[in-house]
Amino acid sequence: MKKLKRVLALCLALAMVCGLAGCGGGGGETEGTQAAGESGGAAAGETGTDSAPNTGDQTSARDSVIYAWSNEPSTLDPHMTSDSTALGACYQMYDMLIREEKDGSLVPALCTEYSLSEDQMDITFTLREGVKFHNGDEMTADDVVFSLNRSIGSTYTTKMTSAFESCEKVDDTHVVLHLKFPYAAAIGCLSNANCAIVNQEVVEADENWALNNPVGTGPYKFKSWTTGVELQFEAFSDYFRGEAPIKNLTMRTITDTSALIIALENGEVDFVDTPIVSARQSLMDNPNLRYDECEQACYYLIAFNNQEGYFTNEKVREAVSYAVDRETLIVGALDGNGSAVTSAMVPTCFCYDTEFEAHEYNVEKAKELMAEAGYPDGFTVSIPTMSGGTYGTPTEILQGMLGEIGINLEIEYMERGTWMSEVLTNNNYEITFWAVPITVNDPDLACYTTFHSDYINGSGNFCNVVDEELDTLLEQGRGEMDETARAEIYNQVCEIVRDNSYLIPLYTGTRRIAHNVNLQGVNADPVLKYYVWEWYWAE
Amino acid sequence: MDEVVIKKSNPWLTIWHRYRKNRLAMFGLILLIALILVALFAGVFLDYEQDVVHQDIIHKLQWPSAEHPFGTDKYGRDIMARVIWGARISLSVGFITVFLALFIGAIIGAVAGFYGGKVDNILMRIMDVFLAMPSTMLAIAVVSALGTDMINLLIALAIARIPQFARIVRSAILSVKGMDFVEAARSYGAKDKLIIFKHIIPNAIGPIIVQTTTNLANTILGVAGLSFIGLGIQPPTPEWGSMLSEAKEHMRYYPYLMISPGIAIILAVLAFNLIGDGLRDALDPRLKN
Amino acid sequence: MLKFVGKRLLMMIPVLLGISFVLFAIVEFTPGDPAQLILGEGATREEIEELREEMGLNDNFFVRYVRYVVDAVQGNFGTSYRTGKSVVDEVLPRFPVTLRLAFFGIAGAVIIGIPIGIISAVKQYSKLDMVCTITALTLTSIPTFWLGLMLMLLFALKLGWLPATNVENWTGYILPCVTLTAGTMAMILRMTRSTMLETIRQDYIRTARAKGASTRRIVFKHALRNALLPVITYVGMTFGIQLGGTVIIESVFSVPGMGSLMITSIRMKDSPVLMASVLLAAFCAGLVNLFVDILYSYIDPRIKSQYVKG
Repeated sequence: MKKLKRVLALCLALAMVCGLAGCGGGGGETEGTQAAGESGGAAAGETGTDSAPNTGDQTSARDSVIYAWSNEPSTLDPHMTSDSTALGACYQMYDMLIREEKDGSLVPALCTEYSLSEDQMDITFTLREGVKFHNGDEMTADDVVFSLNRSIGSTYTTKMTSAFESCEKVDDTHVVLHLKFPYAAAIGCLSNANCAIVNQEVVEADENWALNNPVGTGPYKFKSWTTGVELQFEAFSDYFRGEAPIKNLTMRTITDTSALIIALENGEVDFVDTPIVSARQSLMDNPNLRYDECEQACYYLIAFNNQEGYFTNEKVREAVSYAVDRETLIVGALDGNGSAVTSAMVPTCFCYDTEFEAHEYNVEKAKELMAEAGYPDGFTVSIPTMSGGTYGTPTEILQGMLGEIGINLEIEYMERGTWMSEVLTNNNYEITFWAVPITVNDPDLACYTTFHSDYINGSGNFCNVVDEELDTLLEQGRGEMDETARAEIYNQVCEIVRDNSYLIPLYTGTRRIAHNVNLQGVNADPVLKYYVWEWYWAE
Repeated sequence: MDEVVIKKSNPWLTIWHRYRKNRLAMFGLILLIALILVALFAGVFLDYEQDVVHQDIIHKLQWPSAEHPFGTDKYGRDIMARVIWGARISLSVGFITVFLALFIGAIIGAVAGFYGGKVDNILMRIMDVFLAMPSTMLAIAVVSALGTDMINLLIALAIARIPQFARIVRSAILSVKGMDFVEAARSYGAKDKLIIFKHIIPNAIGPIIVQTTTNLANTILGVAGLSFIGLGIQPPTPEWGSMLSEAKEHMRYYPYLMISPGIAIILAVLAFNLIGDGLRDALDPRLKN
Repeated sequence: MLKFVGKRLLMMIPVLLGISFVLFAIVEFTPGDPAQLILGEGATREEIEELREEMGLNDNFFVRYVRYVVDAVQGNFGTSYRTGKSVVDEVLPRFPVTLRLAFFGIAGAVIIGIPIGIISAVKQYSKLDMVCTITALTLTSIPTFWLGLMLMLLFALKLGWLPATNVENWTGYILPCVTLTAGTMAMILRMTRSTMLETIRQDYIRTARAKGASTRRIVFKHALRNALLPVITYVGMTFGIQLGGTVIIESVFSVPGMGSLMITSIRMKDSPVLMASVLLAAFCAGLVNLFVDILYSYIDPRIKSQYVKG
């Protein structure tokens, strides 16, 4: 009897454990079958283990792509984020009035044409007719007005919409966008996903529409989102430019950068956004893969707090500018795949001067300046940074370089969010390593908020630069429409920044992608705009 | 009765005799002594500024060679020098953390065990709360809250280990508390403190030593793990876990970066595990042949 | 029995409350502002302040804690700061992944560890015993993340047999499970061996032996059952802990489980998700331990009382 009881208890225990595991397993399987069922046979084949790139192309009907990156979008609401990963997903789902093509040209997208008023203060758009949202609704002028005003009102999109006053409906096919001041970069800003057109009815119906039912006019329709794993999309059959050749798009998050590369090499994924720089050579050498890179619309820099601490002393800042060796930094941080940036300007901008002369690397001079500044024996200061190859590695190299002139940097690693709030918002730092990235290729976006004194104390001018001359030049620059005159203005801006060493521009890197060699139509993009709509599998 | 006689004749010597017979344990001890010697004398062979942290970017990521037996890292530093210096860091962090945890845990456990009743109940429920939290998670949360540096890492790791020591000390005390010699001391009118230190602690020392060694092993693993996910010791200090963390990015192409710090960790942890096992056997009178 | 279960479940309440309080306090001290994280790098101080006010972040610590507990008791765990999804939707899909990982990891460890441990003990001091002991010791000394990366290099990259990351497919579980198994298996092996040795030396085994029982009979009929009890406790405890996520393994293999969720939420200061996931983990660990205790009392009530005394 006792024995029986024991046996029963054991059986019960086993059953419970199996039950637990079974539930889990069951749940996962349903997910799996759903995905496979909807995405068709080809997708199922791809997720299998035997789908090395060279065997994959035998199924000519291949129409799925697994897009992988190490981040995860925070939201699919294009107006409520400034995160480039989130926007990367938004480019698949939404359209803007304007689209930036691969060559950088700006073409009408959801409009057929646009015109600027005489005083450069209004832009009138003629809307494209017959554009459908994913839910079948037709896009109306009201949707456009609603979307742009929603974006203008959002706190997340300030960089893109700061020049916009409001949007107004003229008639059913025309809308007008009022500007606060003549703004050369306006059309460029409208091509950013922050200015995406959303469906007014859908947005107003549900506060969480972007989670439950994100609807756009773009080439891909939202299917599912498993947080921490992947986003799934399917091609939108009524897309106004025609249905995409890639029918199923999966955007998968693989946080570990090494695992990301291994997954690509193993054929587990088809496309990798920003593979680590050390993988470059072997990705190029791999016959199953194609690697592509282009210049980044961004420059990296040493930022000083110009209002507080050791670096308010101009001599100290200047000393630092002589102590950095850009070439070594590029070798160390980017394996040599970058170029030195000498002026405080994003290199992809039209006004970037490749001949601009910065202070040359000269340790002796730097030491003299340190002595003149009153620190012959140097000092110790903490430098907040983020871990990883992009920020951590160059910071550690700078630690070595500035150590030579007696500035002892104590590295303080922070999470990205913490770093942003400490450095960018609260300006609670003395020196750090940072970047000026732009998503619209215009010098105004690279300079205005970075140097204008209106933006100190945590609203963009993170170096806390207060310089009236700069303010005047920056205001002139954003209203000037003539390119040559603008270039001259921005050149002066760069000279002032250099002469005062407000910040020290260092280098620019590359935007890198790698993908299955059979996937066509893919190219690296300086501002991370990847339109999967353009991709297709080779026969 | 037998036990008492042995104890009088110098218990430590007996334990040592028993320990010495265990070859694996002796190997662990030799390994540990070697590591400690390396850590102590690292400063004699190596100059910290020149050999350990000085960057030489041009010679970065070189495969092992006669000049750099373990290769160079992404800043062109000699990995061998860093692994050797790393012994200092890992061992000292390990020891400090465990002794900190032991000290605090022992006090809590002793108070709880000795006074019993409500005090015991409250203290042990607090310990339960800490025990019920996933320990790596707790350490990560504490480091993120306090900021990433060595002291905070020590605190974070120690906090997660305090409850274990408190429990052991408490149960050790409970098991000797009722014994005759404690009762006897008490009847003399001896002070509580005296009883704790003079009678109870020496009698609880066996399990504590074993627990300490095992904890040293898993603390070294813990330090490496936290440093690996970027929450440990700050650069340019060479710590094995953070060396691996740095190497991970390049492991696909320069796998040698992963080898030497990894083996260093394994050796250190193995040494403590072997010693812990040996001590457990040596201290356990029941296992006496 | 029901009374015992009920009492144990009741005892979990103060522990869970304690955990939530400690975590809430830790999150409070963590630098970084959820409002900043939500708004992103372009946000100004005014915008952040506005959002803080809206989110109730400016209230007193205790007020917020009590509000959290009251909401949580009603089943409302809030919404994630990071994604805006409800916390339940964030946490629940992660749990099965970790459950599978922990279950198969432990199952593998038990299936390999216990038999080898027994053999090792029965053939104490044999060559086999030596090999097993050394292997087990070495395995427990290897950092899991290192082992995981090495396995990934070998099986995913060099040999291309297994996927490095994807857990959509069962093959994706192999590497993380094997990594997880290695350490646990070694611990179980060592434990089984030492408890077996201890049991074999006990009087009743000697008696059985003296009576002329065969070794096999002694091992399986008498020693094993008693020797396994501490092993079961250990297995239960480890399983409970692993249900809370195997943080480092999940991070190495990019497994979207509880551990990686906790890490992400700590990093992002996503305290609603962090709190809920840790509480769930602790609750599960408690349940597993309770279950082990029940199992225990069924197998041998005498042992249970002996342990309580010790």
